[in-house]
Amino acid sequence: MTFGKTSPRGWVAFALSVAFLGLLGAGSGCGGSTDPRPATWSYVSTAILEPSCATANCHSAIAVRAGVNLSTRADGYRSLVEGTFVISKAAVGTAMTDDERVERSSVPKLMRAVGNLRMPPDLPLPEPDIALFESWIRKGAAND
Amino acid sequence: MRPKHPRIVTVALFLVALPLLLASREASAYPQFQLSSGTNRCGQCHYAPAGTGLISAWGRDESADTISRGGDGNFLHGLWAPPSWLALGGDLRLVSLYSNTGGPESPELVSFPMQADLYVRFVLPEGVSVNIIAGDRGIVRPEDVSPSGRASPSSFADRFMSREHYLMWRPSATGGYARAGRFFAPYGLRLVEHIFYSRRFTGNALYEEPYALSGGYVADDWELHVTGFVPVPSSFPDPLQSIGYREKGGTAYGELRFGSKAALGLQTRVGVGDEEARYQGGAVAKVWYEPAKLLFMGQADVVHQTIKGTGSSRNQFVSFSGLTLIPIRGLMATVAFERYQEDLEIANTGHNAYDLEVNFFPWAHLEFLVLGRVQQNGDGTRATLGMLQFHYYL
Repeated sequence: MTFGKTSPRGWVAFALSVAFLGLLGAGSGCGGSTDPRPATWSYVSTAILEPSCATANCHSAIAVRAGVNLSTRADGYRSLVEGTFVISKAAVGTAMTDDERVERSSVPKLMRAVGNLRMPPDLPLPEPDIALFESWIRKGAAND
Repeated sequence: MRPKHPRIVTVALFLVALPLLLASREASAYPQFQLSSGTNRCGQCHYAPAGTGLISAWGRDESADTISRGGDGNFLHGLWAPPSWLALGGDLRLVSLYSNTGGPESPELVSFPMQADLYVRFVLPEGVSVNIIAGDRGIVRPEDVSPSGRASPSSFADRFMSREHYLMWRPSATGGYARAGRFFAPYGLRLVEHIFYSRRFTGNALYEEPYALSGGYVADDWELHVTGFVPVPSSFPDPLQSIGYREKGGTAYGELRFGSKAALGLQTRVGVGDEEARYQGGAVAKVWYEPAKLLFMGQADVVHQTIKGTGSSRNQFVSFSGLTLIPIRGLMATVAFERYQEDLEIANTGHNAYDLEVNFFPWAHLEFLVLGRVQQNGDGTRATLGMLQFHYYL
């Protein structure tokens, strides 16, 4: 059967569907140049790390790859900060500057594939997300 | 061309597959076959009313007569038929991956058993059945040698997982149904590839199946599925555990079909977790153009997520848009564009993916798949994936 024999209802469906498909790529973000998102652990963990990193084969509670569990805020903070993948202000006090703590923390390097395999390996994080993560470290890497 | 001794080939393949079936991850559905195969409802080829999981007797016939180049789609290629109260099946997927995300350790080349699942369906009186999918959790990357890591446990007992198990009342292929247990709520295109954004970021990621109570109605030209779900309790043992935000909530999915040419679906989902809540909705569309053997297939969702304890929220956009060509029986080629916008308010937080997938079904129960995928972020970061896959289903 061809479309030449189809019903008017079928044509309407076809038209609607094609129009719908055409709109699929139209969701491009057009946000501003400033990042208003809070540089807090609650936000960074829930909005960035958990959906990107706590996947079935990596840092979910069922996998805990490399001993890192990023599936919740509590587990994630324990894994990254107490595991010294991130250096908090509480851990080093004034022995390091804020920028040094960012520099010495391994996670941003992993996210940018500097000297290591990129993390996450299946979904490179956008630079604004990495910058927000660094901003959280710079502010002390506290568990809010 | 048919093998000279198909049953010998079958038995040999089964014997090769069996040990691996006892060793890895996920099966879902091939939404490309809806409309294009002449079968309009996903629940016609699957026991589950909205598709996915074990295929029905109808689906087994179609798998040989319509989907593949030939063969016998029945369990064990028809060598042995289970009794009427039992249906069995299985999926074995072996893959080799090429992944390049930049950095000194790229590209990666890995081969592993991606999925080894067995499917069991016990048929009880009055249209009731017990349905179970259980198997081995696939291990993608090299062995995890960390003391507390659990990504690559050495024993099958530690890798064993049942991502679906439910009781279902479905007295006939059309009409009302109800089911309770662990399964994905019907939502979206239900693509087999769990890496696609439209699955991963809409509450349908690999091993994200919740416990759910679902009901609905399936007619020839429409269907409606309504589901309430809760997360897997943290007290449950490892083989029943899940990933994701651990939300509770509900979904609704409705689909209207226009003959054998088009289908249009609308969907909504609410999920509330301890740390966040998601309110999302979207649409699904398929159009089959028989003269050109082309299937358009798309899904788009808008997600509003509130991040608890931060006073912040964000709006996201997730989409899949694909065009599948089925030039001859047994061969299928799909090009697709995916979009995942993490936060519509923040510049350069979008992900694009461009996919090329070729599926070849030379014989019933066999599939060879080649997938190429390029992801590109708004900031220009790129990741390339290549996959070769051998798929055998019982």
